[in-house]
Amino acid sequence: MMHTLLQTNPLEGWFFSSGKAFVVVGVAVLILLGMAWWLFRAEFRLREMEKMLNSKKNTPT
Amino acid sequence: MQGLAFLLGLESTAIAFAALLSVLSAISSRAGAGFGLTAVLGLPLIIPIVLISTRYGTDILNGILWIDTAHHLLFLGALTGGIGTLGFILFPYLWRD
Amino acid sequence: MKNTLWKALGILILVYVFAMTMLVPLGPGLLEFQDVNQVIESTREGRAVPEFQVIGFGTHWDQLPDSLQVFVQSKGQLAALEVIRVDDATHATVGLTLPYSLPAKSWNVLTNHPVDGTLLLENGLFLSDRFIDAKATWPAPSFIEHSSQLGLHFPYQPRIVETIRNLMLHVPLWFTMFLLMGIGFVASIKQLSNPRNQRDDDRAVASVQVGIWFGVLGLLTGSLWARFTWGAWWVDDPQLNGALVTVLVYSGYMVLRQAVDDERLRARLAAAYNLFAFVILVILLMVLPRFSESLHPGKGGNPGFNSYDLDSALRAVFYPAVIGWMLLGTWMYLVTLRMKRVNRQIELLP
Repeated sequence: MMHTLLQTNPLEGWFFSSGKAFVVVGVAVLILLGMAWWLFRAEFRLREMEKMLNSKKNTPT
Repeated sequence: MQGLAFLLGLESTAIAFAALLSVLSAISSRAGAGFGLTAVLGLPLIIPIVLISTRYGTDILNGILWIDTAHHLLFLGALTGGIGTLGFILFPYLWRD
Repeated sequence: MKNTLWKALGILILVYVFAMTMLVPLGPGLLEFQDVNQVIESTREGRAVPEFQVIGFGTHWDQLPDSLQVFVQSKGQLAALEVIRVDDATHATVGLTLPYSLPAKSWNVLTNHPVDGTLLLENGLFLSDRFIDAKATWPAPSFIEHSSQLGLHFPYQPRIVETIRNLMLHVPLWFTMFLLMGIGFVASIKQLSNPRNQRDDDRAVASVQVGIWFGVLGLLTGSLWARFTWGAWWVDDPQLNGALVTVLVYSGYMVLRQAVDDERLRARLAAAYNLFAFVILVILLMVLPRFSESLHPGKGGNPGFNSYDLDSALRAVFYPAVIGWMLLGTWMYLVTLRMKRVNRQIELLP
């Protein structure tokens, strides 16, 4: 069954010729970059917070 | 020989259950959360033991020669050994203050 | 600077992995060798022989159709079949020019072509109406194994076909989960041996929290793969059940943490439970599959990936994928860990 499906509609031809493969790569890379951006931003904000906490700890209240 | 193999599987399962459930009950009693927590924590841990021991037990009771299903016993033994040893080591830690 | 570098490197590696995974084409393979229930006049033998059709996947038989060769092979015996005509790039008609007495019933089918290289279809031909004589031999035809002339491509695997790309997601995700749970295990041991230190407890939670996500993703990609290769989203299989149980056990860890209020006690109980969880993980995912037969690849008595037959194209993507996912997982773990610490400090503020 699968064989006949593959013959009539070879996945390779469809997936690559229609440019769908590029769309998939594009979306995957976008998600990845979004995640990287989010993580870097989280680290930046954490650094700010750590700085703030340290200065609070050091100043006598 | 078949009877002995079955007994061995039974003992192994019993020890695994006993060790696992004692440690989990200790954890939930220390947590002060009652029996519900034992059930929640125990269910996934018990599933593999139940699966493997039922398979071994049905194999033996169906008259399959013990040596042909010995890999199940071996695995059951590994599980019992792992859980038993760990439970034995960890139990005192749970009660320390 | 160094701290930013390895994170960016991890992301870059993953971008490379995704691009390669999706854009490298799949190599050629043989789908079927089927009897078309017709008799054809063989020019070589001068008699009527049954007609068979070879069906390829992604092959290029229309280029140089004259150099296509078809062989059948069994137990070291090799026989050439006569190619009657090449219909198109993926279909060719062959005459089954075999004698009546044969050494075996079941045969592998091989094709030789200068562009596609040598392709193999295991047990592609089964002959039940012949006389089986184990001693029958015939002179071996000249057979030179070609390597394919195609560019970089992933190997064709029967039944897996295009889904081989999932290898770059499914396997590294589980490896990363193993790594994270290993970090959690070490942290829990440290926590138990030095109970006053809260840092190890933070480490354990952070690693388990991130690890569970990788485990869930591993389950999802595995389920998708199972749908394609085995035909069901979930099959009752020791390896699959083991994976699900592992994820459930670690969810139990999070439940346990919710249930305890006292911080010290929580750290100790969670650490003890985490040791259990890790032992169960090792037994279920690394020991159990070696003891029982499973559909899942990489285990005894199972075709496809059995010897982990990674070829050079797969390796060039698979190893970077493992490294990339592990770097990303470590990074996520470190960020989660820092969040926990900052949270704790904020709570302690007057």
